[in-house]
Amino acid sequence: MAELLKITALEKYYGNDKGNVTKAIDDISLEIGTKEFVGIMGASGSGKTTLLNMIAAIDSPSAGHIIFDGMDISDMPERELADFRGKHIGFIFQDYNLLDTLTVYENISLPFVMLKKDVTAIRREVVNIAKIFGIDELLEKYPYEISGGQRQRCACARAIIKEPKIVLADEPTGALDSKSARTLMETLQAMNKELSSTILMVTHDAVTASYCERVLFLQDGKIYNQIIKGEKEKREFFNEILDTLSVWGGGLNDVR
Amino acid sequence: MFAKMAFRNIRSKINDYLIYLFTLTALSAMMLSAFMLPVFPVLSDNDSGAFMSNSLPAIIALTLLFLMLYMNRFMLRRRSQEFAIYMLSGVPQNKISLLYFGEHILLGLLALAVGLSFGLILFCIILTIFSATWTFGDLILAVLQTCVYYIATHVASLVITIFYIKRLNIKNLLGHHKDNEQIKLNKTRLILLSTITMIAFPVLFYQIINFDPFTASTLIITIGIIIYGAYTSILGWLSWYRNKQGNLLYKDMRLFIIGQLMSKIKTVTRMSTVISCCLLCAMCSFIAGWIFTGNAGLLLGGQDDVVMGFAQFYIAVLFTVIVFSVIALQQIVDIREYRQKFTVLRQLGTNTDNLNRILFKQVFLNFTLPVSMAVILMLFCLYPLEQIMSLSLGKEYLVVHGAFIYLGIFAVLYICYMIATYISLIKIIYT
Repeated sequence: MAELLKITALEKYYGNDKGNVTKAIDDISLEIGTKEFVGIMGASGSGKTTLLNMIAAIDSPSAGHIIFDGMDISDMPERELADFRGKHIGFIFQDYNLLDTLTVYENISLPFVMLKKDVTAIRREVVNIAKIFGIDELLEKYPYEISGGQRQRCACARAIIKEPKIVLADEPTGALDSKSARTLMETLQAMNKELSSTILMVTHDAVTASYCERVLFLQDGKIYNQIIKGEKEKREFFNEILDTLSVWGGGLNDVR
Repeated sequence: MFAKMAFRNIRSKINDYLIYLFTLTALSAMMLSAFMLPVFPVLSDNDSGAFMSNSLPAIIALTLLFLMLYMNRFMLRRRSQEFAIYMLSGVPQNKISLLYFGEHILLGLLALAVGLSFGLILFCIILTIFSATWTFGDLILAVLQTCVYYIATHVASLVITIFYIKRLNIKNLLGHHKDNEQIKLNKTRLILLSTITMIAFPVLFYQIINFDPFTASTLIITIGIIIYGAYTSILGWLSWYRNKQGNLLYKDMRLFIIGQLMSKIKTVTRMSTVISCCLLCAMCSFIAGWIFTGNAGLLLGGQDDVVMGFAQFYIAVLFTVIVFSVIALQQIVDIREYRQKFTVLRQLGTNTDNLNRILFKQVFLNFTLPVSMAVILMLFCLYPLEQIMSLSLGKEYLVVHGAFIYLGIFAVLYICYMIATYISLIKIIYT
């Protein structure tokens, strides 16, 4: 498996003028290969979203390097970072982040519009991807007219349409009921297996994390453990995640 | 308890109420100035002057009523979730209506007090310039008339809004801020409406050339049909093209900009119609002012033509300033919406330069669309107006000069307001 992302000695501090400094990320190093489905777990405030934001080039690191497909994005200028996000990264957020003024069709086509793709290609791709995600009947509707699960599938379609090198998902099942969450995770798994997408997902839900191939555990800004699914059954992997969480003090109180 | 809550709500939402307060203040100031006009003998003795000084407050009262209704709907949209929470907590609907009524009465009175002070200062300056004499009785009468008109309009708009609130349920209120507006016009109706609008243009031309004071009201109806018909047709066709997934919309982020515009299609149509009508009144007023000053001593005699001319200039400029202020403030108040949407665009990979470009196009569209029909109609009417005025006055190009000088002032205000709004939005978005 070729290496897609390499993070070395990454640190992130937040501070104010009064000298109060918080260490959000503390010397993290990790590697993610292409076509991998990796989960990051940890309690609230453990640094999951901060790490994801730095990989997405939304936030800049205080120290360390993020090498993405051979490019060091930790010291890239803003203009290049925007292009980098537009070309290589697909986002899925907990609160969907769809534009309410645009229809489902228009929301999904937005990344292609930004990349100045041909209109015929946009139309073909949007219809194709909508079929894959089972939302082809909803293309004319506005986001507020469809359910949470459908909205999240629309957000997935928007994230994947430009075929990004990596899809970053921040608590994608956070606002969904268990049935919609299961459907979404099966969709993400299919994206990973059938469309060969690399996915990095942040979650504090053990069931959601059990769909990943590898799960990293974060506490106080440090990776304290990682477990790999390998040939294990989903149920077995789920139990292993719960065991890890209870052993490492994150505690079952922090998971759902 | 509700009085305290109303007071706290105003204090905490003062930014949201900025546009509301500004509009009411400016209009109450204008109304007071209009009621003070009869101190000029020319504006009370002469028939057309008396008509102007008597009808102007009524025109302002109608504008005030429309703006208040618009603002009330706007505030209701903003606060729909808050009201839903009150209802979920068991607050009865009539208490919510009372709370809303209380808050807006307080604000209305505040705007009236400030507006009266500004109006007085403004008018004292004008009186000094033209050395007009006035008595304390004139002043008290004008203030009383302003208060009566203003309070009556304010209460009327609130009563209408409260009827509207009473029809809403919790579900409506919770989803109220999200819904996009839509106009239901199919292709056949759009073709019909566009045809009627197009036919109205030559009708207007004919009506101006054969102007008859007794049928002046039909002229106003034709103008109304043209402006409302044109805006509904333009936005209707755009909506139709968008539903057809037209190729042109999928270039240069037009999709985002058009999406923003279409989400408020009904409001944009109504607002643009009123703005264009106001601007058309302002333009006509300015041209009338130009004709009076250009024929000093010939129409009403003595200094009266100049006074009448300047009164018309005053109305024209004030109307124009108010129109641009309303457009600008409306966008500044909508900033939260822009912020959230721009965050999404940034996450999708739009860089700062492109975001700024999108914002500028949005501001440009918001300023240009509502004023465009007024300018088009003015230019269209220029030739027939010039024809009849040059014949009756015996002087050529007075109308053309007046119109172009007004358009010059208009262009300066348009550019200044647009740039100032764009800079303010950039500052607010990035801080």
